[in-house]
Amino acid sequence: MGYMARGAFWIGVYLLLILTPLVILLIEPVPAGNGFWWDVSLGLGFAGTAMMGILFLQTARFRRASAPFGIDIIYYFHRQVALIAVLFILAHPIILLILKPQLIDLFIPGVAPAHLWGAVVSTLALLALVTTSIWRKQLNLDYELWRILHALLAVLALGLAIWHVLGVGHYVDTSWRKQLWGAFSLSWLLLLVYVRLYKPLQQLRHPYRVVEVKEEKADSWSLIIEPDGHPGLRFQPGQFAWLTLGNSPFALKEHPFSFAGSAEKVPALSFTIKELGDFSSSIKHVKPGQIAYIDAPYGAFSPDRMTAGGFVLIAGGIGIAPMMSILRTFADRQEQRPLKLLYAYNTWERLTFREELQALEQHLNLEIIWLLKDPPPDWAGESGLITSDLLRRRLPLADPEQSYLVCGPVKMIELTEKLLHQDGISLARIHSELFDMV
Amino acid sequence: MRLLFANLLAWMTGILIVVMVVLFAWRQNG
Repeated sequence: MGYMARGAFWIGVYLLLILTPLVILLIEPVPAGNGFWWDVSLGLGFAGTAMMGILFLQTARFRRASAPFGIDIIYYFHRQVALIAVLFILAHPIILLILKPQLIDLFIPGVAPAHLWGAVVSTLALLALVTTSIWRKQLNLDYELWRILHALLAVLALGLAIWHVLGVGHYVDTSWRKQLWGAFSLSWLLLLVYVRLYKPLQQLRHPYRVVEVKEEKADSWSLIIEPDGHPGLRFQPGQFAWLTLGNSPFALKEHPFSFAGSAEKVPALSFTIKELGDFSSSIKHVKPGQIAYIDAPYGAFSPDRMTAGGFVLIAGGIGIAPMMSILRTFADRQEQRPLKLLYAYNTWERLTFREELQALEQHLNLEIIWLLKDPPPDWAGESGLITSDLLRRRLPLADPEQSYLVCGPVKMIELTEKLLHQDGISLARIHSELFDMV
Repeated sequence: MRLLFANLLAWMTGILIVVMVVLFAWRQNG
C-alpha cells in the first residue's frame, strides 16, 4: 500500500476515534435535555476530553501511523488540535456560567464536590500546557524541564477531566457509556505504559556508544555514535532521531536531531548539533565511550520517498543538518541528478559545513546559492532574506521534474512554501521538515 | 502542503465536532 493510501487509512482511524464518543452520545437514548445551550456546553466538555485522550496518541510516535505524514507534522497537528480542544474545554464552563451565574456558588469551599475542583485544576493545567508550549523560550524554560512538565501536566489534566466526567455522571450512566469511558480510560493507561515503559525498555536493550565529538563552525558540534552489541538501524537521508545522552531512556531527557551523516555509512550515526540550549551546549563535554540511546528513524523528509528528476534543497540555519545527510548520501551513491542548495545563514565566516559543501559542489552535480543575512563588505553573492525575486532568478522553477525540500524555522518554511507556490510550484512537489516547534 | 493539510484537518475535526455537538443538543431539546 502506498503512502497516500496508508495516510488516508490513518486519518480515517483518527476521525473514528475522535468522533466515536459523540456518535455514541447521538445514537443512544438519553434523558431529556436541560436546554439547547446547556447540552451544547456538556457536548463540548465531552468532546474536549475525548480530544485530549487522542492528543496522547499523536505523540506516542507510532512509527507505522506516522510514516505516511512525517512525525514533525504530527506534532504540528497535535499543537493545532490541542488548541481547539482547549477552546472546547474553556467554552464548557463559560456557557454554563452564562446560563446559570448562580453555579459560581458551587465553588464555595466545602460545598463543591471534589471532582468539580478536579475540573478547575484540569483546566488550569491545560492553560499552563498551552502557555508553556507556545512561549517556552520567552519563559526561559529549559527544554528538558518543559518535557517533564508537559508530560505531568497532560496526565494531570486528562486524569482530572475523566474524574469530573465520571463524577458528574451525566450521560455516562448507561452501561454502554460506562463501558465506553472505561475503555477510553484503560486505553489511555495502556498508552502511558507503552510510551513510558515499553519504548524506553526497548532502547535500553539497544544501546549506542559515542565514538567521536568534532567541533564544526558556529558553535556546532558533530557527534558520531555506533551501536553497542547490536546491528543498529537503517534510515533514509533527511530523517531524524530522538537522542538520549548519558541518561537512562526513562529519564525523559531525549532531544530530536536530524541525521547529518550518510545513510550509506550505517551503522555509524552522525548528528550535528548547534549550541542553542542547555543540552546542545553540553555536547562539547561529551567523551567518547559515553552511552547513548536512539529512538529512530522518523520523518518523511527524504528524497528516497520522492520521484524527481532533480532536487532543490532550501536550508535555513541549522536546517542544513538533514541536507548534509542527503548530500553526503548522494555523494556515496554517486548521484547524477541535478541538485541545487539554497543555504540561508547569518554570516560567511560562521557558515557551518562551508568547506565540505564546496568540496561536494565539485563532486556532485550540485550548485550552491549562499544567501547571507549579514554579508561581508566585498560579498558578490546573494544577501538578505528569501524573496520571490531570488527564487525566480536562481531556481529552476519552470522545470516540472524538480522536487523542493525545505528545512529551517517554521516561519521560514511557511514563507518559502508560499513563495514557491505563488510561482506555480505544485504543493505536492514542496516538502518540508519543521524544526524548533517548541 | 503538509502544513496546509494539517491545518485543514485540525479545523475540519473541530467543525465536525461542533456540528455533532449542535446535533446532539438539538435532538435533546428539539
